[in-house]
Amino acid sequence: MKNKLELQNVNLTLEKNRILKDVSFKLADGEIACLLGPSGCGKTSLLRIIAGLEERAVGDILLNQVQIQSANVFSSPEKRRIGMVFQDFALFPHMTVSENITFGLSHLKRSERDNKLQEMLALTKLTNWKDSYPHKLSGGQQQRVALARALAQGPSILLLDEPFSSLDTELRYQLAQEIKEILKQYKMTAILVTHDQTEAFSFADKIAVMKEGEIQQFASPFDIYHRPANNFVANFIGEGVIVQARLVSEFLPGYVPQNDSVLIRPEDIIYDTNSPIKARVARKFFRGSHFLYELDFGNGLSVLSLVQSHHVHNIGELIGVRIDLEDIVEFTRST
Amino acid sequence: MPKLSFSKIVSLLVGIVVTIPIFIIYTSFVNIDYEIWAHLRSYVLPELIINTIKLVFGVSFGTLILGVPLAYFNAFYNYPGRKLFSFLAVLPMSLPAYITAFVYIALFDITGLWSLGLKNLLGLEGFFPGIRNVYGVSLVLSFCFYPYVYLMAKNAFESQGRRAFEVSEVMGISKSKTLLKIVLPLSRPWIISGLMLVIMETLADFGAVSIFNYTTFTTAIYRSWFGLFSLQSAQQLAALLVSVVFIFMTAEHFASSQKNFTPVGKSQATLRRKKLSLIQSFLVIMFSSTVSLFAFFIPLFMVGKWALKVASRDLDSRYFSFVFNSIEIAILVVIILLILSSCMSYAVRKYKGAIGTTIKHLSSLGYAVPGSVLAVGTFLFLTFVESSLKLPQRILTSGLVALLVGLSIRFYSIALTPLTASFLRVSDSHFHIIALSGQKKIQGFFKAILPMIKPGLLTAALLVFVEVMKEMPMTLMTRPFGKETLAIRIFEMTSEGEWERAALPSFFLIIVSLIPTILLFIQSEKSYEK
Repeated sequence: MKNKLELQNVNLTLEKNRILKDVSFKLADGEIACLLGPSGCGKTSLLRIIAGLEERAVGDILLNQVQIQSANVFSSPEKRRIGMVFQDFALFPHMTVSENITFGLSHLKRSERDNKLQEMLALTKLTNWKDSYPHKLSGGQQQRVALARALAQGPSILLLDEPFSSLDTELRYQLAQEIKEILKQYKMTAILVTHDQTEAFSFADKIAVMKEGEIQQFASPFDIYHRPANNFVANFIGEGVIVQARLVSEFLPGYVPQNDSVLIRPEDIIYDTNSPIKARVARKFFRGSHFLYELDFGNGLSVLSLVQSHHVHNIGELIGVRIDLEDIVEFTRST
Repeated sequence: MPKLSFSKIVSLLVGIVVTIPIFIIYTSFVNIDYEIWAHLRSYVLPELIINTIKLVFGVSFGTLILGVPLAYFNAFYNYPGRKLFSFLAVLPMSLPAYITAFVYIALFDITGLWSLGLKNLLGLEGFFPGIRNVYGVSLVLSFCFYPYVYLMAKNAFESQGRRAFEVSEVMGISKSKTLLKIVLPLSRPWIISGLMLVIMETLADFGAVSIFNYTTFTTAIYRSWFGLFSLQSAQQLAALLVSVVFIFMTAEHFASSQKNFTPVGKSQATLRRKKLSLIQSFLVIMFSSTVSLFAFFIPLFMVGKWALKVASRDLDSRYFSFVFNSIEIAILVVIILLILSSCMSYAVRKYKGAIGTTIKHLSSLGYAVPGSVLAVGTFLFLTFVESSLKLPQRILTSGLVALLVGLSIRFYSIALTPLTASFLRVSDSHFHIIALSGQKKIQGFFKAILPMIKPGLLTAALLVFVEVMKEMPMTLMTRPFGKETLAIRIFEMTSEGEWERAALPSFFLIIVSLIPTILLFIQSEKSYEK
């Protein structure tokens, strides 16, 4: 499959602060990527660079195998044909839903414009609201108008800047799913910026975990979770603790550590009353369907374990567990 | 290296042009003419200072006595007609002080209509003391300016006070104790900042005090310049006055910065007002309607009555030119200010840095500076520009330019405030959407951004229009020769003691400034409801 978007060594330095360091990645046609990282990691800046809204970046960007940015090329935002959905929706309050959606379509003939509008209204289930003003709509509806407005222009790629963060938690994942389906239906290549990993996991085909302007890992959600490339990704994604491998090997015959540290996720510690390995409950957190127990193995090893919540144990009690490492993720201490 | 954008350059320039005429006043301290200074010090200043202090105290006392109780009753209690009375309490703001002033002089001066009638009726020669004194001016100015205190105090009581009353009620603390120990101290910053506005208006007032022949800095500046033809002594007096104003302005800033108490409780909407008993209601209504009667209805009624009386004699084609001139100047200033303040609020929105806000604050100083001071400053500034650019003499200072520059500086912040507020609704993303949509920037601006700031533009235009129509001292001092406006006509008639004939231009002025006020009210009611 051809590359839709390719970034080569993109750098951004503002007033001696390096906002982005040698960012490179490729995105295939129809793929949905997600830039995930703590706030201030440069993910929104990267999005603005791709859109052409930030002119001070250095590096090469190719869209549809054509250079849109390099040392001597800079095509303006309107030439890039990139759609964007913003965190604050940025709907125009004095325009109806229809007027907002057709805002960038003034170059089209009237009939074409109407067709496009009907298509977008149907796609985003807003046909009944087409003459309403934005302030009459719910947050989710407003976000769908913003999406329809961006898609109506037939962009070659869609950028979404924290589009769900101003919505309620319940609505957030539901809308993320809906929008993902719309994008897949359109075979739209898209990049989502978020700091919410659940959102990233449910939305993206590829995740770029970022920290301090650098991409730490660019991989599928599964690999990001189960095969984190380094210490930071392991800590940032999911729950888990990085412990001394030597201590783990004491309970896991046949495990020969290649490195000094190993990642233990809560689901790797399996509740088993028949197991000879006993650990003491140090702390516990009720999660509804599960308890998250912090377990102390007596030799200095302390890990988390996710146990179904009908297994109730008190703090200080000894319980039997098994360590089941399917993917062994090891690090040297320095990384 | 930050780029020098168009809007940045414009805002910097505006900042400079707007502030220079204010600070140029102070050059009078650089080379003091000792002869003039000695004359001022021994003959003019003592009277000026004592008069000003008396007036400031008088008006402060009067506005507090009128404003705070009205605010208290309307914020905390319910009585028949409360909504009407809380609206009536604000109305005197729409009358220029000089109109109220000449109506009262005409009615109550020693030779005034009512005084003469009383004297004839009672045969008490010399009993009525007349009102051409500090008490009279203070009373009239209090009638005009108390709404500042009223609005601030009411705002404070409603935001801070009502829940406090409920809390102390539950705790069993008496009402009077709550008022003295909790509500008033909580509301103090608001009341003080209202009072500071009153004092600044009092110091700036020219029309009313000149009608009362009460010498203050503003009338002294006018007299030194146009009576003694000494621009230099006018400048020195202006420098003194503007320094006094800056002291009160700083006090106001300080009071405003104290307003950040955490509100006692949240949603005010659910709070109920206590019902007053029949007798209490009656007393409150009596008080409110007496204030409205004297501060608004008597002046309005007399102006209407006299205007009708002299209309057949006075109303001729000249009046169209008065009205036309007033409107012409007002519209020109509106256009200038809308353009300048749009650029400025756009620029400040774009770079939230310290420079932007400093320029914004500096250039809104104009509103605090009395018109008579600004007239002197603008004149000095333009003379300086003429001489340094080697322009023909008086090319800037004799035409409309001086007047337009002066008025624009004075009312700049009035235009800037609503525009800055409406620009807050426009986010960066809105500009990005236009950039990404492939529309031309200009086209996108007119289609998308302009409608979003339209309410702000409209408010700014109406406010500036009304203020320019009413403005007196600056128009008087910097207008081109022979350019008569309604306010100038009022000044001329009142300085000849032709009170009834001054009513006709006043009537026009009130009509013309009432229309925008009503439009403003309607606009604030509808906003985006469609």
